[in-house]
Amino acid sequence: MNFLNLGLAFGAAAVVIPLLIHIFNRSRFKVVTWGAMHLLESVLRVNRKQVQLEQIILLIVRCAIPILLALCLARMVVTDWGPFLHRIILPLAALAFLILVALAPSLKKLFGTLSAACILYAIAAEAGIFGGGYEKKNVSSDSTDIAASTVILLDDSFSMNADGGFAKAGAFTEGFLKNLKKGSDASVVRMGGSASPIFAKPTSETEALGERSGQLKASYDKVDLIGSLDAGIATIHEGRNAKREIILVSDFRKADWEKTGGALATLKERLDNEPLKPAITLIDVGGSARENVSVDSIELSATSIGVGQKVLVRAELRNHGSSSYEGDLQVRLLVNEELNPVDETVVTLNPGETGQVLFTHKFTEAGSTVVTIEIGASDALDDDDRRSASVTVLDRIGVLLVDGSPSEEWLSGETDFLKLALTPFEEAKIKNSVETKDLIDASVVRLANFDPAKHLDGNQSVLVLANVSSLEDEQISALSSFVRNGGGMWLALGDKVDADWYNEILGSETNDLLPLPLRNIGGSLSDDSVRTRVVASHFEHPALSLFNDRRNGNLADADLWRWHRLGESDGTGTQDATVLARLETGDVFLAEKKVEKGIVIQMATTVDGDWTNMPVRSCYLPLVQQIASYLADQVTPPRNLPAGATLTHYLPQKEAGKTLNVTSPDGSTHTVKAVKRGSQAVAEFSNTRKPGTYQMDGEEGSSVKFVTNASPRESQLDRMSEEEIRESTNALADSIDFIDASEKDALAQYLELDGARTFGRETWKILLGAVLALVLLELILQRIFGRVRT
Amino acid sequence: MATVTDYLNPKDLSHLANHQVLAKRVVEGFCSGLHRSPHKGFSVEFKQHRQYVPGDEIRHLDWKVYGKSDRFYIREYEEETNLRCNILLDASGSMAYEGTRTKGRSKLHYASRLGACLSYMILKQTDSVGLVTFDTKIRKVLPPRGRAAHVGNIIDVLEDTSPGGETDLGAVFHELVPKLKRRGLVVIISDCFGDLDSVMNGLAHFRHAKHDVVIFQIWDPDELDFPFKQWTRFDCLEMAEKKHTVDPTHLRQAYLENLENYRENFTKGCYRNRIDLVPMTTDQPYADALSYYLALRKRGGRPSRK
Repeated sequence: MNFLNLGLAFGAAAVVIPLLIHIFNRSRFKVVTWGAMHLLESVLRVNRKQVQLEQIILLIVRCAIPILLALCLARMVVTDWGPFLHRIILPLAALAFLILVALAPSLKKLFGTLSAACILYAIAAEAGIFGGGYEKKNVSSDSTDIAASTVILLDDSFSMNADGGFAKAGAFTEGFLKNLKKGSDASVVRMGGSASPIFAKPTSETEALGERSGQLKASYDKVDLIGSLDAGIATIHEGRNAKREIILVSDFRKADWEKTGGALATLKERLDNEPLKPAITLIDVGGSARENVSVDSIELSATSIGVGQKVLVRAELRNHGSSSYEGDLQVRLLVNEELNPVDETVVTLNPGETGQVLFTHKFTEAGSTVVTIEIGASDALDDDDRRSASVTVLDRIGVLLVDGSPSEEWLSGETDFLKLALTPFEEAKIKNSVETKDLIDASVVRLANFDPAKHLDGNQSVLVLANVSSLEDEQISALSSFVRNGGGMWLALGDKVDADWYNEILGSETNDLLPLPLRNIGGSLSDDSVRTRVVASHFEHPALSLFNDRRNGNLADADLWRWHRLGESDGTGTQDATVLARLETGDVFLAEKKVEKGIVIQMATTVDGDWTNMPVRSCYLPLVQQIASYLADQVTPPRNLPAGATLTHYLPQKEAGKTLNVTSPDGSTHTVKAVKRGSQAVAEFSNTRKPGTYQMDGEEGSSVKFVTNASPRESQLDRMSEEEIRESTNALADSIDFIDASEKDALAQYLELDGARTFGRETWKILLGAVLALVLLELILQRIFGRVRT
Repeated sequence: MATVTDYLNPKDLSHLANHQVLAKRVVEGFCSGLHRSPHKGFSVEFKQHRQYVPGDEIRHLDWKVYGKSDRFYIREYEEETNLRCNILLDASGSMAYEGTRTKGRSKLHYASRLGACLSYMILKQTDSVGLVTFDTKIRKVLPPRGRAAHVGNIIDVLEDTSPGGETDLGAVFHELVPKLKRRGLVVIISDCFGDLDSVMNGLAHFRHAKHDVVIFQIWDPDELDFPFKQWTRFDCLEMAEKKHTVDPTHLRQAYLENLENYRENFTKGCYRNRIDLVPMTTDQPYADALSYYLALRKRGGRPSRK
């Protein structure tokens, strides 16, 4: 027995009202000195017991009325007739027999015995001494007869499109919702990507909900099984009806149900604690299609690329099916989702095989660009035949070099080698064409002339301090805000460096711009025996990962004569610096520290040839180019995201409060507002459940493209057998109904199944009837009990 | 000291002025011939001739008729005799009842005034009247006198009477019968509560002694319609230890039924014994009921059985 409005059940406390009235009446009596006592006494002699019985009966009836009314208003639900019988029906029957005792005194022994028997039976059954024949007989309720609260978990991941599975699912959902009994409430939770209900709350407008469900498309990511079940249980908990059920319509791909055991056990616990357990029905609408070729991933060699630079686009293709492609699988490269491919090729892909295709492409226009790899295969799923990535094509990366040891002589200044390596074409005076355009726009300023307000304008992404002895306080604070807002800073040390200033001012708690403190200087300029090299290990860091391929140069080629020994913490402090590379002596060569949105990279030696011969080695150019692009790259948040992730775009602070339009893959547009956060404005958009390209347009026409991709696992069409499904769902509930819709109509099967099921049933109608009957009975009894008896 | 006007309301008396209390049966004269009449020289009015039967006194033979018809006839006369009336007033505890509608007018109060009124009327027609008050036992006896001033004595006794004690009508009547030596009118003013058989026995005793009996049964309206609603404790007026706390609404029907039953039996018993039963309620002026009864009696009828 449960209550839909538990609070109102406490209204049963109103039972004290008739009791109090009774006691109050008895205690406040009038005294009459009476003469005709012989008339009264003979009446009393015959009637006293009878009158007492009648008064008790009336009192019981009056007390029963508020109790039953409270139970009625609290909408009592019985899941099994047993308790209802011995808590409500039998006491009422006992009362009825008691009334018969009062009305027919000649048969009082018979009725009295029956009344006592009812009470004894009820008490014995309640105490569990014996159950009677009715125990555990659930209350049956046909689906089309009574109102229900239903949550449909609808799989709208794109794998549902195989074999027309989603059409079946949509037809079932629409048909089911439109057939619901009046008074029902329902909710449809879409499972693809992340659980997303159509309406925020369950609605009783089930027909409208059904219509909406019929118009849905399956083009979403892998189902969020646990999240959807969690949302479903939370929704069903708030259901307004006693009959509750969760219907999961899916194609039951193996990939969806992997590694769910632990989470399902938690959900089972929640389900077990539900007072009105929902029935769970699984409807399998999946088909047996297996032929599928998908683009599993797309990788670009860099996420920021200069105009005219070559970019490598590598895509991984997989043949999930059994048909083979012998050099006839078309692969196309599209830019900005234009119809005509910029490049195309054909590949061979045998069953079960994974293949790679590699394209190179040069972008001619700067801006946020989407690169798409598309395969021309006729298979079960279309949505996974293409995959995109967003790439930022930069015109130039602004790098400001602050020279702490300038020189008039060529290549003698501290930054001369660096400038040459960062802008090789410009320095070589080669004619400016797209192919020979430098990505990096480096400008040099001498330390004496360095004015942050003037030199650090919006075009500079990276600042290099090369052998700078120290800076003024204003310069430091300008640098600090530059880095904290996402700028990159490269500290190259040297003989001019004032180690105390670096440790105390740059590395102070307020500035906190120094990755590792400076200790002493290692090596010697005169003694060749103390030379050292960079340890050429496998580099995890993106700035150095290029050197994992020895063809791109080897950092260990260069000798270092002198270097600053950088103090690594002993592991107890708050070490937030990462060491990127070490010298053979064990000292740090490169260290990195993230400072809010920006990054500081510290190099232990000089960037010119004073302390090392690195500038004349082949690894120098890629190293400085990589470090500069890496530092510049960090300014933007990622733009290739899994479906459902939040898109984030940084804007200058002055843009705060402005609105941006976001165009979704389905063509719908939304607006987001840029809000001030720290020293920047941030625009965020989180409704990215649908995989595809999202374009964020600012007021000035600048647009940014984000790409969200579905999980490649969704392309795996391996289905679970019914046994496997039952095995998986055993962790969720003990009894789950399963409908295979592959051959017969799902709705017809469901209705057949539902007719045989049992649920808790609301009893308010019975209780209300009993209350009305008791009220009427009270009136009648009051009249009857005033009748003649001598 | 009570005055006559406390008990006798001139308005009531004028209402009753034309009524005379006539003993319906000729109290003494009816039996003449069976017993020697003590009353001689009374005005004698011829009534009828009757055939002589052996044993009749010869001196009553009408010789003139014998001379004409050669048959023996006896002359019969209608005799007037003095009415001797005894008023029996019940002063038991139950007569002290006064209901909500009759505040200040208990049944005894009503009965006393009725008794005084009757006495006055009887004395006025030069008959004699006496008074007996009783509860379980006889309390006071005032023998019948014909003097007009006797009403004062009666009122003094009424004034001194206060309710108390249990009712035992049967015993009192048995005790009283031998004391009323001469046949006459016996007027009982009582509520007649008590064991019905015992009361009827007592009344039969009166009838056996050839008294003409009239009962004025005094009711309070509360006793007739039992109007109590809320929980009530009924304390007995006659026996202090009898107390019953009940919900009167549940008992009302049964009480009324019981009352009806009792009244019917009582009425039947009275009818059987040829006793006039005149029910009176204390909220009605006694003059009305009395005047109705007297008018009826003058016509020679009897109150209906109901």
